[in-house]
Amino acid sequence: MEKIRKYFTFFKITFINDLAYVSNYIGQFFTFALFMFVYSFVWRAIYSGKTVIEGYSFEMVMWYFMFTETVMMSKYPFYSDMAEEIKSGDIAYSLNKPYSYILFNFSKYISTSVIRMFLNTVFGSFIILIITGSFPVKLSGFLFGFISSFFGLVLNFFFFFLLGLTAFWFEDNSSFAFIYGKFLFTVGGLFMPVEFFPAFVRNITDYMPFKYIIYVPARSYIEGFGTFIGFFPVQLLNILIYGILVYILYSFAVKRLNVNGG
Amino acid sequence: MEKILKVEELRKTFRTKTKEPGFRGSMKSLFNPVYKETEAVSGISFEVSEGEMIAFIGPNGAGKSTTIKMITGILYPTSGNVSVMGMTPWTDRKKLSYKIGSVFGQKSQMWFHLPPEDTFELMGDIYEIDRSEYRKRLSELVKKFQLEELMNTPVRKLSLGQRIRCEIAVSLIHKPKVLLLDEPTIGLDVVVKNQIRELIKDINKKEGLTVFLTSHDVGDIEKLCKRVLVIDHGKLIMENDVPGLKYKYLSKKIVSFKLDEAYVPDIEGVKIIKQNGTGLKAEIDTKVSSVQKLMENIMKNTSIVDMNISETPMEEIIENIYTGGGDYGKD
Amino acid sequence: MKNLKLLMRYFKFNISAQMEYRVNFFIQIFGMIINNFFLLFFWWVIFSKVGKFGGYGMEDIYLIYSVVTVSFGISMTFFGNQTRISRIIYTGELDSYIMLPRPYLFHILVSRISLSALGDVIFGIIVFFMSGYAGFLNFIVLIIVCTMGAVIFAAFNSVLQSLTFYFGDSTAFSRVFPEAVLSFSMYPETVFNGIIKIVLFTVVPAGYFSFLPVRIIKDFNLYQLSEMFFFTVGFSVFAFLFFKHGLKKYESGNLIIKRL
Repeated sequence: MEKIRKYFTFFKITFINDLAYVSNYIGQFFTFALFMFVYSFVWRAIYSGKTVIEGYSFEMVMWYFMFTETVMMSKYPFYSDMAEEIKSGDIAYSLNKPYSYILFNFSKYISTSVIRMFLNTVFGSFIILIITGSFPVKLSGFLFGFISSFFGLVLNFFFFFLLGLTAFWFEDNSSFAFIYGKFLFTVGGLFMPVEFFPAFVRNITDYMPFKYIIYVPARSYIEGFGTFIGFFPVQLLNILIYGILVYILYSFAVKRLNVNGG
Repeated sequence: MEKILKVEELRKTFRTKTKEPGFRGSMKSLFNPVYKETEAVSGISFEVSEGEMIAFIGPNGAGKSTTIKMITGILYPTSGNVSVMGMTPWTDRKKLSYKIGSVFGQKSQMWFHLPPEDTFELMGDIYEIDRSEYRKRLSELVKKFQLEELMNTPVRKLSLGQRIRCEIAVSLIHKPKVLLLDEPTIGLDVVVKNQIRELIKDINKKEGLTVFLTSHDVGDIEKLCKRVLVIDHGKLIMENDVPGLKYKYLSKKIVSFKLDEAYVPDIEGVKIIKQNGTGLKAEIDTKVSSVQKLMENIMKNTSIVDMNISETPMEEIIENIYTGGGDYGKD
Repeated sequence: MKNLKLLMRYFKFNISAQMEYRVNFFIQIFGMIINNFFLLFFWWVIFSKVGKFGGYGMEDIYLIYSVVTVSFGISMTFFGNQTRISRIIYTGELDSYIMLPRPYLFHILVSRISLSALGDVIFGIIVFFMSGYAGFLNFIVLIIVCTMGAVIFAAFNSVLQSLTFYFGDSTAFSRVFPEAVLSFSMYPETVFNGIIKIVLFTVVPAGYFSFLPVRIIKDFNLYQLSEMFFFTVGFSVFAFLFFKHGLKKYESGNLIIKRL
């Protein structure tokens, strides 16, 4: 228990730290509202003369988009701090403390992300209710969507950690971060549900981890328990695979640091 | 006394990529890198006793931080041995970290937007300190470092001196045996500097804490440490106790006189720096001559109204060691 | 003219500095191009699902993307400091510009050049030749309107960032508005209607950044080109005056800057 308590304290302290700066989220809310507003115009134009595309009505697509955008904007991008730490050599100070560097980053990341998730969901639902004037979402979906998003955030953590690790080998990792983001935008299902994709693209997405970060949580929000539990085993499998992969790469990088000082 | 730290023939060689100029060179180094070996630390040996305060100094890039990284177990040495409290740092790094505290003057470990109390609590948990023991230790440190009024103010609103006091206190929360201090007084004014030094001295005395200090501030070294290690180009170029250092390398003394009537002495080992009426300023090389000889010579001719002897300041000694000026070799 | 020379000097200076990290530089540019192609995915799926709508097809989207990325790329390349003005003001870095005998705002804007934005320009040119409007004359027109678009975008950012002179911390505004311009710019003009259309030709000038230039390339006419030109000049003058007025507050020391 003593060994685990420190990570809860990280979580707690990051939480308090963020709460003191809720006003920082105002800018983010503006952007969030703006995206939804622009999107409502675009989708209205696309839906002109149609009521349902692939089982989604205009209202459902808008709610879907709100939820994907919520997940997207909640992920706390700690990889840039991490890359900075690696490049400056400050990572040595962290490695020298009796905690796991991965878990330390995870506690901080998940704490901030969960707060953002909560605030974004409340704010986003409010805005989208105004824009569409309809509520095609199951209430229990808010619970299971949140749980599914949590596991999506865990999976995403490993990719962010990987982005941070690239600083050991590359001077600048912003283009990798951009490209990762675009994978989420497209095959992750941020722009539209994967049902919209042509069949062969949809098949590919099944074998990629990205839709378990964006698409699956968003659909769980709308449809609730059934959807959540249907995807959950594969979501968990992805977490396992990428978790192990990242752990191996991390051990490799630390060994290199120990031998060559980074 | 018990040796808390033993360093034997410690050596560290880094492999660095060499890059040929131009785009082709860049691509080549990306796919077929050529390495060059550079020696950062080349065979250092020393020992530190328990409860000792020792200064570890050297110019930038001398190999100081590489050595410290090896002592704390972050870097593996190429060869040689380190033993800290009987442990080998790079195999027992986690275990060792419970026994070591560190303060880096340039890098804060406090949470900037939160009151210090939160960082204390976090550190307490990181070092897995039992709750009741934590509270006892906290009140002890708060009292000693006079933090009562600071504990609930966000760190960003503290002055630098207040913050450094918190940094040191927080680094002691787990009762470490060894404290690493890296530039602890950087950027502070004289009064606060002395206050911090007194606190460190006090903790060292009361808790038997071993202090390993790196600093560019000669005052820190002079006021805190009895012994100093000087490192340059990866080698230990000098190891001496601080008073001895001054004694040994202070072969020159500056003496100013106010005389009854004008007189210019002429003896071997005495150089006249300035002579202005009855005022006289001379530099004595104590290896050749002495203050006494000079005074005797003067008093044969006239009498002394007033005199003042000054030593070469520590800064100059250190500067001399770094630049290799004088005959300051390793003894 | 002298100022143009200054811009070119900074450009050369920055190129040689960035050439020190060539591999990194090419990874960045290449990454940016791939990144932009990903964005086309949305339209590719939509058109294969619902076909053309509102008279727009894929080739129109290529043209819109081309105009926006070329303008944005030119703007970020040559006026690399446009999103850092606020920072420059509150960190006091501004003082070092005031001491030099150059038009301050212009000097600040050009003194940093972001070469990675060249990836956007390259992308924009590629998709221009994929659009149904490729051709030598149209290409010339593209470069002309995009240069004006680049100036408009830089002027817009300057105005937002200069708000720091008046209100202290204004990061919420200065981040959201450029984001808004870009978001609206990436879609066909006909998607938006009503009041929003007025907004897009005023406070969020996506109209001048994307809609009008696209119209000019599709159907060249001098009247619209001169409208674009006058807006560019007028808005730049406004940006300069706005900055200059704010600077007076700075110089008189009446400025309370909240440290971020």
